[in-house]
This record gives sequence, structure tokens and C-alpha cells, in this order.
Amino acid sequence: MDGQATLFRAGALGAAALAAIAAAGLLLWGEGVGLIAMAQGAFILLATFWLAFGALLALLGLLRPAVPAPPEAPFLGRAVLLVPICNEDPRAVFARIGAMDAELHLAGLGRQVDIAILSDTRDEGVAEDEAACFRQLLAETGSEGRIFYRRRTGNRGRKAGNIEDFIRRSGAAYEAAVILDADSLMTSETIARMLRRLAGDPDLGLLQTVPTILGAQSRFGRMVAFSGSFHGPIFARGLSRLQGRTGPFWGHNAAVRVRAFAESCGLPELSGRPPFGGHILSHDYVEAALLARAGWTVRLDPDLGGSYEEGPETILAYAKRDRRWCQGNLQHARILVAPGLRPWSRFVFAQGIFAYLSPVLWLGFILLSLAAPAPIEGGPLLAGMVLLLLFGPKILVALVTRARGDRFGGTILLLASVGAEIVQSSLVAPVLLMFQARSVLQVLLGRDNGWPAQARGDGALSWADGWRAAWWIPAWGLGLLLAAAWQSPALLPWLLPLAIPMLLGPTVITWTSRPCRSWLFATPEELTLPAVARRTGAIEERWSARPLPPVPARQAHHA
Amino acid sequence: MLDDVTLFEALLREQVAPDGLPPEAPLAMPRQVLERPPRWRRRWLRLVVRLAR
Repeated sequence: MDGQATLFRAGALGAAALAAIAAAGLLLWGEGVGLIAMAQGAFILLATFWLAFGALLALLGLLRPAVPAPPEAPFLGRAVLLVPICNEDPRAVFARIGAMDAELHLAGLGRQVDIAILSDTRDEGVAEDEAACFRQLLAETGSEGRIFYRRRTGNRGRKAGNIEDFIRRSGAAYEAAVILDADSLMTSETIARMLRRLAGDPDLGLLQTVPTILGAQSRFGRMVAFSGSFHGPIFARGLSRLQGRTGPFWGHNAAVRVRAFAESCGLPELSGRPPFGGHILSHDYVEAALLARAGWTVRLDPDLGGSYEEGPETILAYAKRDRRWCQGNLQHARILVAPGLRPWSRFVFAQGIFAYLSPVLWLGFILLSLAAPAPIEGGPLLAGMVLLLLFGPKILVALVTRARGDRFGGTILLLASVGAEIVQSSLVAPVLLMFQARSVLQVLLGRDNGWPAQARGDGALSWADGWRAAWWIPAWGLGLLLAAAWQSPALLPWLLPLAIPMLLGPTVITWTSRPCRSWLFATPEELTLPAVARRTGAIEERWSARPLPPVPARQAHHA
Repeated sequence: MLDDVTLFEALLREQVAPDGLPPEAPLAMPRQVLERPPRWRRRWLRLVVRLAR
């Protein structure tokens, strides 16, 4: 596995480097070697490298033959589903757990797989509801001694610390743990296969699935869900070809070998203060790197379906989550030179860092072009190359895999959805670029955002909400256009694809937050709701029809 | 005579607290090292070794 991955890595990195050099060459063609030109060239070189690398994942994912299915063996130990929660909707969380528990029983895994809800909830009212939902679930399922609920009073280390607390107190009781998020759903078949794959490879420390978004309602949410459902598996297959034994961990919908995790993933606090010091925010990537450092295999298995999560319904909710990810990824700069890490782990950290620096690089390139405008001989070719890297992979995936169209409502609807996704994401991307650039600047200026509660199931935003959150984006768009009109009118046509969405920022935010019942963006999960999701819905409906039982005595909890 | 698996399960059930907490089964989770020591420490150590020689 490692030899093939090394070849693919060399190929992908080499091709991305060539694309980056070509882009820088096109930019500097005829410009000379002044200081500003060199800075522009450096920005384009770096930004294009990561853009090209991302595009290559699609090509790798389309290669034949497909990655062979890994070995499986009977799983004879005990496993636990870990569900860390913090100020979530208790009925929704426990309904999901009830649905997964029912599926596990039907699959004959009920006695082998426990479920532990690990609460870091700070709000006492929500905590009481959690305890009540727990009692209701036990009463309905008779799962006392199999489904557990523990609430921490302190939340040291946040989610990573929450899981660590469980492992330190109860980890020896289990061979494997399936780590979920509060909004995760997995089918029993997938859980069983993950456990069998852990048993089939004694060196496997962590197995990551590719979650699909369920339950999206808004234009933005359904666009993201469609992209994840249609393009996601291809990009994930590409990623799996590069991973070797050093695959990714995305923090949830993954199975870990408890002993391996305990031995390898005790996260320290970094020296200094947040945002670069303190608790490690994006702990999942670090845990994957530490497992690989200790010699365990970390693997992404894109062939495993039956893994679901909810996604953000609005651009603002996405930006709020992205702010945390931005801080977490930039904090990884402190870990780039950690002792003993595998080279690919270091590359993955760098990739995450540049995923957030790239918007700043693109903006920097534009500002330099405005500050010192100069004719770019290779301008049209450069623009064409960037557009090809941005849209080419999506179009290629649609054309090559259009036979999957029957799962997405038919080939014509599928191609229409791909087109609509390209158009809508072209409007959304400049707005997200500005939010990301702002996040990077905030982190670099030392502002710690911590881990704010994730807004789930958000309602539609008003135009006033959109304006309040993003008035500064149209201001930037107008500023760029005025600067171009004053300094270099020749740049105006190139700026329009970026500036027009920026001018429309609050409108784009509001419009995409509205519910959307169109046939566009249909996904297989929307057209045929998975059984575990139907079961979840039925439990939620049943519980919403009557009050939850009172908690007889205070649920014991510990710090 | 209970086989090992059934006995283990029975012992686990006994450990489960009636208030729904997970079983007590501690597992060590040592803190990992992610930071290299500051450069001045390395330079000081090198100086000490040179002086010692």
C-alpha cells in the first residue's frame, strides 16, 4: 500500500508543482522581475499549487481499477459508540441514538456495542432535558447497562478532552470505539463493517468513513449536500490513493482501536496562549498524525456508505464553523516540526494551513495588481488555467460518472444540478473567501474564538441579518472596483467575477438561507431516506407529542 | 462454569452504576510530546557537554 501511495503522492505533488510554475510563469511573462512582480508571482505560485493539488484528487479518484476492499474478520470484542454533545437539542440527539440502538439490535450487535453519551453541556436547563431524554430512552429500550450518559461539569480540552475523559475512566472495557458527533447517524451495517475491518487488520488504528449530509433544507445546505454526495466520494477516492498508512481523521464517523488511541493520542496543551497555544482546537488531524507516528495505520475507506451528518444551512453558520477550523488549522503551524511525525502528516498539516491562507494569497495578488498594474501577457491563459482548475474537476466527474444519475433523479437532472452547483458556488465562493480572509487575519492578530456552539437546523435569514453580518463585503467589492477603475481599467473585466458576488454578499447570504424545494440538488439520501433516518424521525415525532418524564434524582456527574 | 467472555460481561454489568454512568475500567492515556525544547536549552546542553569533555 505504501509503495503505490508514494508513487501517487510523487505524481500529484509533481503535477501540482508544474501547474504552479506554469501559472507563475504566465503571470511574469513580459512583466520583468521587479519586487511587486516577484511577490505576485510567489502568491500565484503558492495559491495555484494547492488549487491544482485539490483538482488532482478528482483525477485520482476517477482512476481505474478502484481501490480493492480491505480485509475483514469477525469482531469478537466489545465496542462503544461515543457521542460527545455540548448544548445540543436533546430530543434530536437521543432520537438519533435510539434509532442507531434499534438498528444495532436488529443486526444482532445489541449486546456487543454499547453507547455512551458524553455531555459537556453548560446550560442547566438543557442538561435536565438531556437527563430526561436519557431516562425516556432507557425506559423505551430497556438498555440500562448498555446505554450510558455522563455529564462533565468542567469541559477541559473541549471535545478531545471529553473523549479522553471517557477513555481514561472506561476505555479498558472496550476494544473499539466509534466516535460520532451530536448530529451523526450511522447504519448498523456500516458500524459492523468498520468493526470487522478493525479486526481484519491488526495494524489498523483508525478507520474514517466519508459522511454524507442528511436533512438539508436551504439552498446553501442542499448545494453543499449535493456536492458532498456527488463529487465527495470521487475526491475521497483520490485522497485514499494518496494516504498510504497515513490517512485522515475528521473527528467523527470513524472507528478507533481504543488501546491504540489511548497509547498515542493523549494531547498536550501547547505552550503559550490561544490562538496558537493552549488546547489543540483541530485535534482530529493531530490525533491521526500521532497514531501514524506510533506506527498505527490510519485509513479512509470511501467505499463505506451508511455514514451521515448534518451540515450548516446558511453561509453564516458555515462561516462560524469555519472560523474554528481556521484557528485550528493555523494552530497546526506549531506542530509542523513536532518530533517523529511522518512526512505525509506534516504535508497534511501544511495543506490545512494553506487551505486558509490561499484566500489571503488571492486577495494579496489582487491588491498588488491594483497597486502596481502592469499588462500581463499571459493573462487570458492564466485566467483560463485557474478556471479549468476550479471547474474542470467537477465537470469531468459529472461527465465520467453520469451513469450514477439514476441515484440523483436521472442523468438530465444530475447534469442540471452540477451546472446549478457551479453557478451557485461561484456566487457563494467570493463571500466565503472574504469570511476566510477575515478569520485568518483575526487569528494572526491573536484573537481566540474558542469553540462556539454550532448552530444546527438554522432558520432562514432576513436581509437585515445578512446585511448586519456582511455589510463589509460589498464595501470591499466596491472598493476593489473603484480602485480598478481608477488605477487600471483593464483589470475590471477580470475582477467582475469576484466583485459582483461581493457586492451582492448580503443578498447571496439571505437568498441561499431560504428553504428550497426544487428538484435540483436531489441526492440519493433525499430521494430515499435511509431507514435509520426514518426511525430517528419517528422517535422525534413520538417524543415531541408528549412531555418527557421528570428526572427522579439528580444525575450524578463529575468534573 | 462460565466461559471467560460471559464472565467478563457479567463483571462489567456489576460495575455499572445504577445512575447510568459508564463502567469503571481505567486506561492510561499518556500525554504526547508535540513541541521541541526551546533552542536555548539545546545550545546550553551542547555547551555543557563541550565543557565536560
